[in-house]
Amino acid sequence: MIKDYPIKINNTSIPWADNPCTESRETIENVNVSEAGTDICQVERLGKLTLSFNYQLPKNYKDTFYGYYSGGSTLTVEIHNGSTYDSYTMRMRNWKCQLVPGAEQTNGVYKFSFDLIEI
Amino acid sequence: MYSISNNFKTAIKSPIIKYKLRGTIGSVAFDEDDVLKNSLSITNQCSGNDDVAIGSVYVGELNMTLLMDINKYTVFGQEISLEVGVKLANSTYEYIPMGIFTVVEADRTGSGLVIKAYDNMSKLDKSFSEQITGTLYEMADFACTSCGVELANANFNTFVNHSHNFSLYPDSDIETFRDLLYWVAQTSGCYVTANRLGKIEFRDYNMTVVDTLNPSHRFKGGKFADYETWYTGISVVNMDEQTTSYYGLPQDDGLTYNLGSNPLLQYGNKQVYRENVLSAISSFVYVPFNVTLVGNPAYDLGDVLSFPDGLGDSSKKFCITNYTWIYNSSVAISGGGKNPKVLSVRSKTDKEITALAKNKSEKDVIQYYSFTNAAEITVGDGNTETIIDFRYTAVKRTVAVFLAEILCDVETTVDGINYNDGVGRFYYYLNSLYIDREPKETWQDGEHIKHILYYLVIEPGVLNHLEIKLKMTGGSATIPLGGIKACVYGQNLVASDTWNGFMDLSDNAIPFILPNYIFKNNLSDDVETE
Repeated sequence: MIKDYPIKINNTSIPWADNPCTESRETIENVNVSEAGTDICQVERLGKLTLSFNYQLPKNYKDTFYGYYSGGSTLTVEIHNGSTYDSYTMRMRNWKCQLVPGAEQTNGVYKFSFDLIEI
Repeated sequence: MYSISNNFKTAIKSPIIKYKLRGTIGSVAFDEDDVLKNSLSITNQCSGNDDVAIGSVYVGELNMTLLMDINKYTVFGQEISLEVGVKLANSTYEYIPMGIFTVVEADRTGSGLVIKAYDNMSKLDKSFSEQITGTLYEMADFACTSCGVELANANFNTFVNHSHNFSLYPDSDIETFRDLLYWVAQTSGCYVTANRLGKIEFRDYNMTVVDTLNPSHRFKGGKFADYETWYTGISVVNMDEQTTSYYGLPQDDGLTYNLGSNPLLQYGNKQVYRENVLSAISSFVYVPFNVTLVGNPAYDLGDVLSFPDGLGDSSKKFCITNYTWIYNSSVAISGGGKNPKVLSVRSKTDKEITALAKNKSEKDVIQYYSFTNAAEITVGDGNTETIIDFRYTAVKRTVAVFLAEILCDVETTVDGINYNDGVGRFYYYLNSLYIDREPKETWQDGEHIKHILYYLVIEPGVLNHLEIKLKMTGGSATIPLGGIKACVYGQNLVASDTWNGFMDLSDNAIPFILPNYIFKNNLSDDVETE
């Protein structure tokens, strides 16, 4: 995630924070072991994207992200690759949220995390 | 095996394989994105699970779940065509057709539109009740044309019986055109399947290997039989006579294929036709197997494979008679077949008896075996002679009654002096085992009539041998030619009006004392026939 080119969800830039996001790619494949003991891979899909986010932000940001989660529908996520934005259709899953201790007096600061998983 | 390029062959055997899919359902196109994972499969076979069959006319079946939106109530009866592509080294895809199918079931579920479709073989399920005459090819072409499908074969010149003319009569027990193809294929020594282009294709079994699959190409868990399967005999039901005929090769050590009541093999030069079928079905030797491979879409029914090394054996042939192909997953292939070494322990005569046991008319009908002595029998004083000898079998477990009337002239006098009465003891032996029943009667000098009776429990398919022996003491008995009238009768017995092939030979030896030492060695004897 590049500060000048933040990730966009449904065309809205999400707030910048230090290292909030981890990108991982997955290969969808059927792997069988042959009679000779070798792997035989039948690849269905290469590079399925998952973005894992960890934030500590005030309540209004938490509510914004939770709105994406509770909406339940797919999200259009744009990620800058250094030269242009790539667009992905993703879903938000694994929502976790925790009120930061001692921050109750400031209307709440929350640690929250979620995953964006490519469809 | 469908004709594919060498690049395809290389790609499908690489450790990493990628596929694509494209097809149409009606006029709607779909691809792999529209199909639920692991839901697309095609199953087909050309034999049952336990044997290599000729004449089979199995319908191939496609199943898949479509995720795309298709208008409701428009799917049933639509035609599906399917192509699968394999990614080659140059990153292009080589597509091959997988068949033409017609939707027979469509259900909308939470997972998507669940579809079952049959290949064009199902189009031959149309009523047939005609009398036709022609060559086997003409009959097959007639059936296909009548059902609106195309026959893939240009001729049947490579199949047996292709040059003969055959006739089918309305009473031939054929209900559909698929039934007709069944008998035509059986008479040709072939099986029938709908090929990838939707045409009906007759194929015969052969021994030409189309692909070699090393252990690295086979998924772990394969299974190979420890025997080969082959045929050396056929049996055919003769519809007119309601009997069964058996035909075997000179070296008859393989399986027997039952052709049933094939209506094309009932008339004309049927001996030749049947022996031609025997030559076709005895032309291959396979090893049964079950193996799962990568989802190679190019394999076909009847493909002969080589499985060297590992659990396989490069010197043997393995024929695909059954497969289930799953897109992006696997193709499970198998070849069936029984073990002749287990089944052929029966002799050729036993097989003929087994064929005889299949006679339809004898079920639940009282049948009998009769016996009349064909020569005079004399049982001397103190001697024992076999007087009645039966062999019989049954199609079901049954209880039969044995009855006999024996006319005998008993001689208890010596030089005109009657010293005492003679005693006749009857001994029963079933399959050479003594039955603990000894009816006996004391006879005065003169002619007598003796009636004996016994109940026999008969197991199906077992050839039983019943012997009745008479031992005389105190006199001798002479039974004239035809003096014995005996029978075994009951339901489910198998009758035969022909010689059963058995000859019983016996030799009488004068009793002698064996020295003790002789038991240390094997006893042997020689028997010669002229």
